Amino acid sequence: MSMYFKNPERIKFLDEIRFNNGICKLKETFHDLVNKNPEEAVKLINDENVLFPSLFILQHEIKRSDLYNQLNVRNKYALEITNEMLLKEISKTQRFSYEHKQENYSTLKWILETGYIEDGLSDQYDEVLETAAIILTKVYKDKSCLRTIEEMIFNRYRKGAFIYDLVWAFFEASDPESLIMVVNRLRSSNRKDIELARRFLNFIPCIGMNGEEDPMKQYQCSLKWINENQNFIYYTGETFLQTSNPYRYAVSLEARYLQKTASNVRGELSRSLTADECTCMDSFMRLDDASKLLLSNCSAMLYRKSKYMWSQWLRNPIEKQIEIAQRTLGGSQ
Amino acid sequence: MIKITGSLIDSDTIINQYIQNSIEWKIVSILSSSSEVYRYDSQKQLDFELNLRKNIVKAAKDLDKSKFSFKVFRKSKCNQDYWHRTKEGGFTLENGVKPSEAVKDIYIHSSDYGTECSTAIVIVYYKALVDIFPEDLFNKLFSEIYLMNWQHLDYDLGIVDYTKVSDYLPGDGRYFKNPDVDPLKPEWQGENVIYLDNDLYYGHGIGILSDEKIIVALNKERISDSEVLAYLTNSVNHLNFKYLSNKYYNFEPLLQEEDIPLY
Repeated sequence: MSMYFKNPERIKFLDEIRFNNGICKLKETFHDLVNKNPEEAVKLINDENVLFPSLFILQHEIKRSDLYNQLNVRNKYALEITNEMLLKEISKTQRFSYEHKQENYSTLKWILETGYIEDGLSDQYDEVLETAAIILTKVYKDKSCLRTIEEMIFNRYRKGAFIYDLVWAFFEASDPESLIMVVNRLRSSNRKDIELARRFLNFIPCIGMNGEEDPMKQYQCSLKWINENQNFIYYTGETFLQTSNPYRYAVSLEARYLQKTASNVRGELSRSLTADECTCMDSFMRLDDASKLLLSNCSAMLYRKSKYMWSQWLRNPIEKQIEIAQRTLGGSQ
Repeated sequence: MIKITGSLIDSDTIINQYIQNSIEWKIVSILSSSSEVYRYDSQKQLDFELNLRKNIVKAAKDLDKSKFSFKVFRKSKCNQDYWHRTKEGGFTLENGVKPSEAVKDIYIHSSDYGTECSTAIVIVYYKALVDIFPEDLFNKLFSEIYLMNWQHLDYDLGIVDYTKVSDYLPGDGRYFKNPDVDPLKPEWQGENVIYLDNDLYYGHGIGILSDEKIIVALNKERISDSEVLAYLTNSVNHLNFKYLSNKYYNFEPLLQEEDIPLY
């Protein structure tokens, strides 16, 4: 749950009306207040604890009543951002120009973190949340919003609503650690959660090959697999737009072979290699796919067993490494 | 090279069976000059694939000429006489509607329809099939169509993705990726296309263009300070031609009342 909802005492008057009496009553109350006491109306909407859905719902009333110039900075930015998101182009406020990049961040966070609770309010509202999510993960590389995005995705999937842009935003963070959230969904009592989690985790062998197995077993084997491979997996960028069965993460065989951490982008090795490692890598890169897989499996196994044995094995010429790997693993990888 | 029932087919012999510069001729030329071995169970299986690929190219060009519009899923639209628009923006068949007529209607009343590029490619595949298959067979195989990007694909389409292939053929589905797309325009994160011929591609919302021009168009939709260019990926998707060919040749139409001999 977002920090904005942890303390019910922070819920303010306008939000309280919305929660208890609905959107129409909120609009009606605000409209009456603007007519009777506009200063109080401005004060309420500018309250630091007010939530984004109330601002979004009241935006037309604010415009109609000419209150825009009296809004605080957060609200002004939020409405400008909303406007540009829905127009899909830079408007005269140029809220998404480079110079506003830093100041937009906290507003986008506020939109998503206080707005997600009303996901489904309207098509336009949902689109604003999706766009905020995409900008936060893709432009700001913000990982703190991933839990919220993940929750929205699974809630929408249960309802049969549109998930693709949120899914894209979630994975564009290219954060292997966020996969644990998805793995946890395998323990859900909701069948739809398990179904979607399996689709997201299809790159994990025990899920990709045994789609219908006991979800608890899949949960355990997925955790084990991630634990063993978390340093070597990278985000592929595949999406539902591109293919029916996107494999969003893959193991970098090169990284696994050298037991080096793969960067999260395109499977490149994150640290520069020593001269010996470069020699190994040159030979490795000339091998066919099956031999690469064999060596990377053998390397992982030896490294876990004994780092000394592993380093001795890696000093061998590549042909000898293959011979030992075939002997050790049976050659059927 | 092409092998039919295990026998290598002479390139000139097979190429000369087709009209020079026709789609079939171009495909057979690529197949027979490739180092990859393309295996068929019969000549008619090969001919079926050539014909279906030719129809995919035609269906793509026809869709490009139509008034079918580009819409993001949130704003997608369809003719509700034939299709039901789902909550996620896809289209399912209306009750009682023949799948063949619903697919054809997308081309007939094209201005009533709008969706994204991936769904457009699936529509192209269905249209190519509806133009080839007997109506009964099409309606039997594809009785529950759900049009929504690459999700909910009918098993009988047999669409398979390949990450690496030796040759690209007219009628293949391909993908241009735009990794640094402007987050305000997620619909430009990539472009699904059908490879036509003469190095041209059809992409819904972008038209019929060369790969260079598609990349230029996608690059215009990137984050302002991006240095990452859009590119054509190596991946390919296509229908399962052999499976569909078997369905086509093994189909026995139901006898109509008037076809039944009276004595």
